[in-house]
Amino acid sequence: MPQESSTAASPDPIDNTDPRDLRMEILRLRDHSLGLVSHAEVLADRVVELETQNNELHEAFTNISRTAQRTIDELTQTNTALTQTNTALTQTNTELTQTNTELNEVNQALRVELNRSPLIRIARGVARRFKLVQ
Amino acid sequence: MRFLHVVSSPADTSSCDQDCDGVAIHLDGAGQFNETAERAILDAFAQRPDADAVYGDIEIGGTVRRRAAWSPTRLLAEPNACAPLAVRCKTLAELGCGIIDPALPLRLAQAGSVVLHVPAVLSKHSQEVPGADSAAVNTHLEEIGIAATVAEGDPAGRFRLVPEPSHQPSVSIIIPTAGKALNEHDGSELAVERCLTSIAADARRNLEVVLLVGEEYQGDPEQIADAGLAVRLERRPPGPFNFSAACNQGILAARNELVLLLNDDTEVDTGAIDAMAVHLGDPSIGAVGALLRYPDHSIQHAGMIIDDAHPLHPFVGWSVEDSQRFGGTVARDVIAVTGACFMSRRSLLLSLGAFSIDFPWSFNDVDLCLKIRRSGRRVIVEPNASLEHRESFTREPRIFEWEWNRWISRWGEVTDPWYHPVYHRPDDPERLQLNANHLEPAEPVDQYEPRGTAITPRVHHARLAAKPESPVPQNGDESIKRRGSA
Repeated sequence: MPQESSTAASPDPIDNTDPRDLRMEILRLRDHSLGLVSHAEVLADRVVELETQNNELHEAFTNISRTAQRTIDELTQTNTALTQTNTALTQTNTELTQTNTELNEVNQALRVELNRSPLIRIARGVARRFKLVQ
Repeated sequence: MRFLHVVSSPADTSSCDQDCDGVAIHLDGAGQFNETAERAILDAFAQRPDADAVYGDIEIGGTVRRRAAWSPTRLLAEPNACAPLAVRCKTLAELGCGIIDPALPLRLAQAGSVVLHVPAVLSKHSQEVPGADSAAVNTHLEEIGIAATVAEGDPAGRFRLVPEPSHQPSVSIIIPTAGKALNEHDGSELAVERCLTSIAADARRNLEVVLLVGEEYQGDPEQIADAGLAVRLERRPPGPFNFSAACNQGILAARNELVLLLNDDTEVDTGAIDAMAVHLGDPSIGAVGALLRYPDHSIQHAGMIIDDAHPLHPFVGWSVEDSQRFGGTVARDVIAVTGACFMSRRSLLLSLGAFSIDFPWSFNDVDLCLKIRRSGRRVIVEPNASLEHRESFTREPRIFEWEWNRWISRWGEVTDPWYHPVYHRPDDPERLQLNANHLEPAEPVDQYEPRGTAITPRVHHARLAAKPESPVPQNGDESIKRRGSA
């Protein structure tokens, strides 16, 4: 016939004076300790994984940043060139406007001079005489 | 690493001294290297300066033979299991052993050498590569403390261990039981009584049995028919059943150094206990498992594998004969064995905290095996020790999400060195349904990363542990696995 023994449970091991419960608690703590070691290795591997990802992201951002900067520099250069061209064009435009004004003035003066010319008058009289104009 | 010195015949007596920075390998006339072999071997040594020897997969007569990582125990049954071996000349000089010596793998095993496996076919052979003979294996057994000799095994050319009949170390058998009847309708015979009867039928000396019973026990445990064995009854404290805690209580109560954890729904074949116990004479071995069969004689357990962090039972539902092709019938190193039949040393288990009560039902055996592996001891399965196991008789083999989270949190993804990488299955949702078939490679592709036997926890891609842990559910909560999983 089997012999019998029994074990009592305790809510907090530190208050427990039952040697069997305490031995079970020692086992639990030994297991927990080893579990923490392996868990730490898992976490360490995760850290390495994250660091690798971080480095990859950093590299990608650096590349993107470098490319973007290059594009910005090129655009800035283009913008500067366009501004210069624009300035030159504006200046040319101003000069052309001025020339145009001067030409208009000359034209106006020529018209006045023409109206005063005796030849023009004679020509107009001849034209009226022969009813070439009303 | 400077060069690979290929020795082709015993007449080639050239030997190197300790200053030689080369590697030697023996290829007889029946063997030849693949074109990638020399590079692969030298690369393996270059990657792992601590390695003493390297071997790969081989092709014999046109058939590829995949191999597992280094297993000193497999050498006992299959001495040519890792031939041809490429060995550092320095190591040969230290061992005082020639590259042609068939007992060289045994010498490396005894010396605790670092031996790597390259999971790629490195050489082709027209016939079997010779290995150590039975006399050499017997000498080796004596030297490492295993009280056994080898006899011709099945299939021919393999050995099996025959324990010395006079050597029967004392064993404490620990059986947690709920006192369930074999037949629920008549309740005439309890599963645990059938188990005890099978143990008693072995007529083995130096045994004690510790039965763990709790509140859920159906009936009066005092009435268990103990079949004349020295049975002690240990009552578990009140509270929900925790398999690990029950086993630990039994381990603490055990009076012998060798302890056998046994499910009460098993029937032990004659000689199984000795077949397991004999291996524990080797101090490098920390745990021994057995071959468990379903009542229809198909395999339930023949050692475990870990694939993508999932502990799985290979060969489930196979016949024992079918598993031979994959070496399922030879004693060998494995990453873990089932807790349904688990033999170890009491002192070792106690030093490691025994079974983790954080895994009350599932993963506790695999977790313990990994702790044993990381303590520097090996875990092996001995198929010559066989039992019948009515696995689904006692409980639903389920794994709950909170258990998985704890598992992943503690171990992450552990690469199983004894599970060949070409066998890894595609990531399909039905993978867990394929336990019995997983060993057939779909499209094998050689890999050249050398594999040692160290167990390294790495973060698993699922990282489920990051989720808040749900409270321990009661029976009937969601599960993620089914039969065939650990």
